Amino acid sequence: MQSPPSDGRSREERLEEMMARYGDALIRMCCLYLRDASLAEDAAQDTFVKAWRHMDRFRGHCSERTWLMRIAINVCRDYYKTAWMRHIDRSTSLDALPEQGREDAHSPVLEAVTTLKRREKEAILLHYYQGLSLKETAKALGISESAVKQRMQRANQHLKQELEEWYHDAF
Amino acid sequence: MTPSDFKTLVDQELDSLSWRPRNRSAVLSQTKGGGKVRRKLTVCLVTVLLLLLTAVSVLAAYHLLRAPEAEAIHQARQAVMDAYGLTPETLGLFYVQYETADDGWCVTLRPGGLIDSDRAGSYTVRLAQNKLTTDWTHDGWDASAWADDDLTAPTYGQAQLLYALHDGKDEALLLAQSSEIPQPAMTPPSGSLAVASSLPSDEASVFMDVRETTPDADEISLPEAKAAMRCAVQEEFGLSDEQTRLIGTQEDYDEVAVRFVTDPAGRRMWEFFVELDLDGTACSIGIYVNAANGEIVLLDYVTGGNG
Repeated sequence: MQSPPSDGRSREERLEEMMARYGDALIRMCCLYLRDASLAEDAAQDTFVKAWRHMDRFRGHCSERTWLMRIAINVCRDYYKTAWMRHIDRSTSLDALPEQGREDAHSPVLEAVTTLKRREKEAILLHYYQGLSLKETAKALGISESAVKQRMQRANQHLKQELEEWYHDAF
Repeated sequence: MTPSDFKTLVDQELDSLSWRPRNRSAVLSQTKGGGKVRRKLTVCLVTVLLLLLTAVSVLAAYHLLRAPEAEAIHQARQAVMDAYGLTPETLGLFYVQYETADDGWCVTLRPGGLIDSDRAGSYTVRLAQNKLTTDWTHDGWDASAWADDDLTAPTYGQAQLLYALHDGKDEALLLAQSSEIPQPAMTPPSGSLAVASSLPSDEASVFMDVRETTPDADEISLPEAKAAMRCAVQEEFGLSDEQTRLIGTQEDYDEVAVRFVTDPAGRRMWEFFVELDLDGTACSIGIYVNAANGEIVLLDYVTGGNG
């Protein structure tokens, strides 16, 4: 358990530290979730604002990172619910991301991950990208560990199918 | 691939996307009592939100008018609810198609992509010679087939549709995916809409899709259009005055969208997208209000989300 709530730091200090520590990973995870870099920025910002607002309620029942990721997932879900998200075409958003001079396209692995069903994608992003354990992933998603395993299994099947020709045994 | 491999791959691929000082500033601004800092948050958006609040007083005096197409769709939905016990939540799983006929009209409600189209069937409501008739493709089937929430039953009634919106969502989606019938998401009024050519493209907020434009002097104002929108939503969903007053006022910026559009025929309209909670079911509503006379050109909605 890291960063318990009573470690003497002020809310502002904890917020600054969280932004510095998790900012990059959070914004990238949101991007893979929402398939839109600009929305990802908004979602990551909202995540930190919500974390700041509810910091007093965090009682250390899970790690700070797990707690933050749970907020992030909920923010992304909210974004998904919006009318605008329902109607925009996100099929090219990942391709449209700036690649800083890189000539090759985004990895088929990432493309395949972004096309996963929402629930499976959440499990993959938290476990594979954020490095949460299955138990932490379950806590972040508010589901059981066995449910996480099921989602991971379905996600793996889908990814193997998608990546069969390009990347054997990707996951 | 291990979690570590995957993380490395993502970080390499998305290395241009990182937490920047401006992101930090935006967060700190909000924690210090500042409002949300949004990309492309223009003066027009602020104006829109202010007008949204002032529109409340207009609502009480507004008399709802519907274009023939909107009136037909409204009547058709009511007829399906009366005849088959569906509710707005479950009707949101169907998309509507309107056609004119020699002496009336025909509205068909077909299932969207979240449920098995064969099992759900289609509803058809016809007005001919001033007589309204309502049919379902599964009329005549044994009603016991849709008595509970069994999604593997051959037909879907209200119970299964409600279940498909909530606990049975994944199962319903799995069954729906075997159907290859293409499903449009929403029905635009009279052909595809085009954003008014007079709108400057750089005013388009990627996130909010709000485009500022000033209606002509003889066109209705945004507050008037909002009053019409609220009135139509209230009647469609049977909301109380208090619930109606809150439409578009409690959502975050993210969940309210309004823009001024025109269709290929040159009809100028206010277009709204609002979110409504129908007893725990998220409902996305698209409403088009004719800028010339304030009548509702179309009110369409979807439930079930896309996640």
